[in-house]
Amino acid sequence: MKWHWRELLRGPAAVALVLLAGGLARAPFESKLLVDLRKAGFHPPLHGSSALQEVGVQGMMGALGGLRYMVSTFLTLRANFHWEFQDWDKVLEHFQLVQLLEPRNPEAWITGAWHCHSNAWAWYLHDDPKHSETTRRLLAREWVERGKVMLRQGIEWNPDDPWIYRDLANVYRERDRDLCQAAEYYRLASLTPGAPDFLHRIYGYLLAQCGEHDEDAMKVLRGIYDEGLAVLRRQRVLIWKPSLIVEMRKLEERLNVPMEQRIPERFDPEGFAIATPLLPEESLPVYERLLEKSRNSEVPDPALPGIVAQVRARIGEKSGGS
Amino acid sequence: MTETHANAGTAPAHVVPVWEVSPIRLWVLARATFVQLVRMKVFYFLLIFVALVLVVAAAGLFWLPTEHLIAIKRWSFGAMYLFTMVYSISATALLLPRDLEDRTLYTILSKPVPRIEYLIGRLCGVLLLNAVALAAMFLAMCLLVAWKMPAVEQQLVQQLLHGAAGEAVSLNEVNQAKAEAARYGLSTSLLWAVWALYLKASVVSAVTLFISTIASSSLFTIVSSAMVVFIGHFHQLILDFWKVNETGWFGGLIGRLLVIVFPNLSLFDVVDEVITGTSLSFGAGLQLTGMGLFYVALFVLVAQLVFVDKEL
Repeated sequence: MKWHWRELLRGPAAVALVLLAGGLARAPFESKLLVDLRKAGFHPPLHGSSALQEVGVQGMMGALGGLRYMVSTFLTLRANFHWEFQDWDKVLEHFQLVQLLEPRNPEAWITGAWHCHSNAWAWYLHDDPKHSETTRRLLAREWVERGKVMLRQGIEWNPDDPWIYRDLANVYRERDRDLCQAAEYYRLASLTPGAPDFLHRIYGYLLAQCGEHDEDAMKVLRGIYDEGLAVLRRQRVLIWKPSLIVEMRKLEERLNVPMEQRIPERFDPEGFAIATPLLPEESLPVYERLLEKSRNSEVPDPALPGIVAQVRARIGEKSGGS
Repeated sequence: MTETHANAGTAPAHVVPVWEVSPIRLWVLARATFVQLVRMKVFYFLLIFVALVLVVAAAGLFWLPTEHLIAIKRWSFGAMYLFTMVYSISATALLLPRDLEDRTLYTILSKPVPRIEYLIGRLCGVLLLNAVALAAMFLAMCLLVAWKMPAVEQQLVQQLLHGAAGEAVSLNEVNQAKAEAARYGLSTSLLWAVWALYLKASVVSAVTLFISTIASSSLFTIVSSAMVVFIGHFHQLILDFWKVNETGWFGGLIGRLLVIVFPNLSLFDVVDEVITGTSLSFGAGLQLTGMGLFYVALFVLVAQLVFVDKEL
């Protein structure tokens, strides 16, 4: 039987040709689409400690196919089950898998780290029946560090998410008492797109409380105060928080700001607007509470006794005058 | 004048053009396939789906309110994925052998119906079934998310108030908390996610159709299609594996051949990111659609190349 080149256009040869041609034709478009999707936050490139580990991770992702997100939910539930029995190693292991499957989900990092720096920490510190107090403290410390490492990894994957920065800042604030570092992470959180206003405010408070950056703190809080002043003048609405005034007065005291430059006790340009949310009577219990806390802390705030004395004197003047 | 002279230049009436497609005949074939599949009671799966999602929505399985919303969407999309993959493979794999067995194929092809039309019509029936089922499941999911949304918003605002430790919280901050909740709620990107799932299912159906034109049994078609789906999720791995292991030119060639011939199904996996708040742009959605349609057209074309010469 005579073979003809037209035979190529039929049967298996034609199928192979079309599939090859189709595959080659789509390749550039597919690459471009993949690049576009990656830029938009889809199909994250996988990180592993070695190239072979990356291949292993990809293998797992491939095997799971479209069920990746469902498996991740199962793993989260499984981690919650181990949490009930305080099996912290298992909780950590499950959350590490969840983070591997969905690194772009901030909740995976936040929740995993929360189990480490809060739940495991508290359990080792207060409830662990097996170890001595010193060992328990060391173990608790270790879990706080694990939580911090997890949050830092989460930030690498999700640099635009304010809540991972916020959680890391809170770990520094509550576990390490490192207010300067906490302030720095609040600053980074406040710089993320769409970050809520209060992150910037708390950054200012922490900077004021950390004691090493009083002038910078004053600038930040003054900025917030001035914004509030503009709103007050424009809309007749008072938006300052009591903590802002408290922190600013403490800073004014520490920085020895001249009396005429300090924020007024009352600001009454048109006879009705109150500039500070705290009148002396209202502020006294707040300052007294702060003073009490400060006396009990390792580093007492030197400005507070003076402020309390001043407020008491003002109240005394008022009652004496009336 | 003889008959030969009278019909000179035109095809005889009984010869069916190979590539001609009539939309009306396509619709008839697609509808018949859809009805045939519906009679297999496939939509009972929807009841299981609703039960599953209701359980997830009602049970307080998660600590964070946003996680609860994510879980509802994840389980819904997981169920949608399972449904579409299983039905795309099994329903398409059954079509040709069943038509051969009950001789419907001969009845259809004895009429002026080109084989390409038969293939596309049958495929459209499966795609219609997937579309209806996905639309119903998506609607159920949206209703549940909308139902849960106010409670989640409230929880987030409560968390904000708690986090502010007694300080007054401005309306702006409450609105920001609500916007945060909305990020995990319903969005247009969810439509893209379900569309991407549908495109993936369509590609799998087209691949299964192609395999069923070669295969001699439904079982072979189902197993082979499942393998294609499996390999379709390994594109990046295949490329990286040969890169890492340096298997030489032969290994590299095999790897590249697999990547070129098999469809890249992981491309359509955008659901996970969409669920957690990443939005898919219109341009990227269009590109995905283009890629999906290209794959479907490619595999229908190769199916036709095999089926057109197949002795039935």
